[in-house]
Amino acid sequence: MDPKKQAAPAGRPLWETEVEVLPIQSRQIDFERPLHGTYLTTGLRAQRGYRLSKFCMAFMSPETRDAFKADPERVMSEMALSDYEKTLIREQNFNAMVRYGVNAFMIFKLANAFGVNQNQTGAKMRLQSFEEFIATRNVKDAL
Amino acid sequence: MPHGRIIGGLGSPHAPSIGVAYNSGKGDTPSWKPLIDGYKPMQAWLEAKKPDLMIIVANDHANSFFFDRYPTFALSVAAEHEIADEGWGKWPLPRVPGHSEFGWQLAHSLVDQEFDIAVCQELPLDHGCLTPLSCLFPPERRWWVPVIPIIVNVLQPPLPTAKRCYDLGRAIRRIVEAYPKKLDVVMVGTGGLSHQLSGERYGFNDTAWDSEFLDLIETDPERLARMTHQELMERGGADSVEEIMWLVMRGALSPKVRRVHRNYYLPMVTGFAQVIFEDLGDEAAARKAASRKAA
Repeated sequence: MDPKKQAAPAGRPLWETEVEVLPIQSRQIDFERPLHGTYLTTGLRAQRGYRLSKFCMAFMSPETRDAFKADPERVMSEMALSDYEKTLIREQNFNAMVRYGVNAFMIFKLANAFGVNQNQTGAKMRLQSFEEFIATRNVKDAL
Repeated sequence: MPHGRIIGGLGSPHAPSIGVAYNSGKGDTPSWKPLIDGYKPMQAWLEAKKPDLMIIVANDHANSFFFDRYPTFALSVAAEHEIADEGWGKWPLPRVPGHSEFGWQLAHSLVDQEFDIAVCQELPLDHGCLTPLSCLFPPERRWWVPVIPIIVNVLQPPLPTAKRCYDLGRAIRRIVEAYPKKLDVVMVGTGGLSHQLSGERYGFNDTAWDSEFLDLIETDPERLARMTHQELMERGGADSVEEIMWLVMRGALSPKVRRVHRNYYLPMVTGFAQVIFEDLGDEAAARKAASRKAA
């Protein structure tokens, strides 16, 4: 891995960068052997995803859930999200949120406000339709 | 002299779908019966053994803790625990009683033994604890055993190693046995076996590895304790790393255990497993006592 490619561009905040792989010396995670379709929220990736994660946490409050359902743009503006983060939310692009550094359990809180359940969210992360995903499961209705 | 003892360990998944299914009366539907029936022997075992305390090892799913401040290990000394609103409303459950007296003892003794655990006086519980508790205590028996939750970071790297979790269990055993009052403790390790809940690998499972894990947690937990997170995630999916919480439970038990229950079911995205391990006590001490008796 070329370390120059991994560094965040100087002067730009972390959440605006395109950094995808952020190797750290670890005895537990082998950064030279990334798992297919797996984006661990390690280090700077987690830090980049922090603000959007915090936004998702607000959905623990019934007031935020109701406000978002009524006017999502207003809630997003009040939380001072970046344009990119707003785009991810508008598009319900859960796969990109994971790559951006948001933990799945945060995403499930946000997805729920769209009426999207965990396995529907998972299907989107797999870049599949729900029907395609559910066809791969042993049981279809243990939701 | 009365003293504390570990009487056994239970293993349980903690997926929210299970708690919702059980609490909404779907336990007899074909989709859920193979799993929910697996709780019946566990309920009966608890009723027969009458533990004084349940120590449940689970993770918080960003409900009590957020990544602004995230502890590696935490325990609750609270007298009772609120139900968390995870983002879709609180589950209609009564507050869960804690055990403050032993909780504080556990906190002091763990830190004395260099397990620098965060101590919580308020800890709303999410599905990590509430799914297993709901299924272990049917509605008419909630909650007849007080509960000390131990919360492990399995969400935000760096996570504690598998060995550290196993050693935490061993420390808990020493502390329980040193407690100078009668206290029969049941450990509960929670978490799904193979599963991954994010990325294109969402839905990954490996039933052969799950079966091997269940053999090893019973007969050779130290081998599991030597595995890295990388190995666990490769074998079982990124979120299966939470199996390290089963190692806290197993570490608190005798080296050999008597397995009296094992069940496995994989309906959708997570390998769900349930076990009951009975503690066989300190075998060396038992042999000594037996030889004294013989003499």
